[in-house]
Amino acid sequence: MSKVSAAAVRDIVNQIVAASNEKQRKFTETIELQIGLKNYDPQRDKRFSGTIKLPNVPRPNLSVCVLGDAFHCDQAKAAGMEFQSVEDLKKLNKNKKLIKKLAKKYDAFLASEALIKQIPRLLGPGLHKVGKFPTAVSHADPLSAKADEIRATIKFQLKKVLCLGVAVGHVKMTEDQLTANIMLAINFLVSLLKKNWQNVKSLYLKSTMGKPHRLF
Amino acid sequence: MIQVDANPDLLPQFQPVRAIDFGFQDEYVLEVATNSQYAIASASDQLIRLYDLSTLQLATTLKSQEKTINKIKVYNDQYLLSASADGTLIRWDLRTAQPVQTFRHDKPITAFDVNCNDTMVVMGTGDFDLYGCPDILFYDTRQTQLLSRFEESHNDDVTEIKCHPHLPSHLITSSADGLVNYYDVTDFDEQEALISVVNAESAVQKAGFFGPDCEYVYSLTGNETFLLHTLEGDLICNYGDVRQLDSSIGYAIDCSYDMETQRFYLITGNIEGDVQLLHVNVGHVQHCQTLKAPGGHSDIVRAFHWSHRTQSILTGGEDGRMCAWQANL
Repeated sequence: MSKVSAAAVRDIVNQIVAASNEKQRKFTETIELQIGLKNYDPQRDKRFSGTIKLPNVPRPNLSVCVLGDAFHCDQAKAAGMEFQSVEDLKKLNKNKKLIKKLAKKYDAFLASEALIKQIPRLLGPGLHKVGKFPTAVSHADPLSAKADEIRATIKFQLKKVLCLGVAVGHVKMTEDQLTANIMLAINFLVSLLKKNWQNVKSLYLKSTMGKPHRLF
Repeated sequence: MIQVDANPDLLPQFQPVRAIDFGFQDEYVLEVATNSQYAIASASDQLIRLYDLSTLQLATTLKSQEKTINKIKVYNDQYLLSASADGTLIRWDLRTAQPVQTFRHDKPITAFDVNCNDTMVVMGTGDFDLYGCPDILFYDTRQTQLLSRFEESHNDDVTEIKCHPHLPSHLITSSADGLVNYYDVTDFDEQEALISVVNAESAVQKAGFFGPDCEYVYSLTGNETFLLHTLEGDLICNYGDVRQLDSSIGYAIDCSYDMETQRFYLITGNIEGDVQLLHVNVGHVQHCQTLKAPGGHSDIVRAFHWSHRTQSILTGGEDGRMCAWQANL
């Protein structure tokens, strides 16, 4: 049984968005869910780390580059997406500086299924160090949908302090979208905790510049 | 869609033989292992306890490492290696219960393995928040000397290292960054050593080789997803969230491969201390048995070891117990 109601989430979401709209900012504030844990010992309890796929894209500005075979390069071009072909990657000649430049230029990569096996040979560990090894995409997956899937997938991991922060949306999203994301994130994360709600000390929601609002 | 059904006749019935209670309700049994003489348990009190395999009486206790022991492995029946968050990897001679070799590093060791001809030890580090990208260290075991160090291969803690059972310079490493890397380190060149990469798309907690020629790789992630790939990186099957396979499953423990029957198993558990043995085929999972008995576990099981040849199983849990299970051959 969830300890948090969608109504309570909606209420706070509205407060956060209203507060954000009061001030003109040069950027769109992110909304973050902060989970404080209890009865959890990071020295010996099971590692708490993984990814959540949210129903509504929380980070629309994440730049994605397609490392594509001929089919996907054409598709990327038509969709206005950035891409690199096998030939483009071969031209890098495994030069560490150039690969590092490519790795830094984009937030994430997609790679055609046929191409992804060549990545280690073409680029070595160049994308590994920055945590941007590509996600595979097949000819059956529409490219822009797959890119949005990446933009909707958030990594979560517990740090030394027993608090976990997860980006769940931004202030320009609708109340429905934010509520759906937040409810899913809470229920999914709690389901992965050994003692579920007994491991949760507190839940807060806040926008980048706003004050934290307690949910639980 | 993954087909899930039961096959209770595939395995002989496992019965509990003995439960060893540490008597410290606050300690967890984190790792278990066996050799021909002992059942071995590593607990959260940084002690490694050796129990006589026939009587299951405590024979001796190994203590040396100052912080959490992250992994223990038995090598060649004679040696036990233990890796700790204090940065050391110790090789113990099980015949004398003495440490015979120590590898020291300045970061916590979260994973390791010894290669098939005992010429090389590979160690992986953790605590990404403090130290950044982890190291993969290659040591010569004969001279206790550092051969090489990879620093660019993962973007989060190393969670597993498994050396290839027959090829001395091949290994896989898995990480909380979601990747399983397969290397040939003949030349120790980090730019050239990567043969293939599996992207499990979520922190990998457990990974390993399986198959008659070790041509497959399994990954278990922090999302409780389970994936099988070929060593070249092609997806064989994505079983999704293991908790969806059956309502009695709370999380995945590990996998186990039986060389003789060529059967591959997924081991899962739940909050009550039950352990499920599931036979795995492509697109199909069969529940064979649940290890559950009075005198079994009452809290989540973290450590599991299955000796297929003798049909004996050791389990260790957060209830501070180690249990031995035996089936008739």
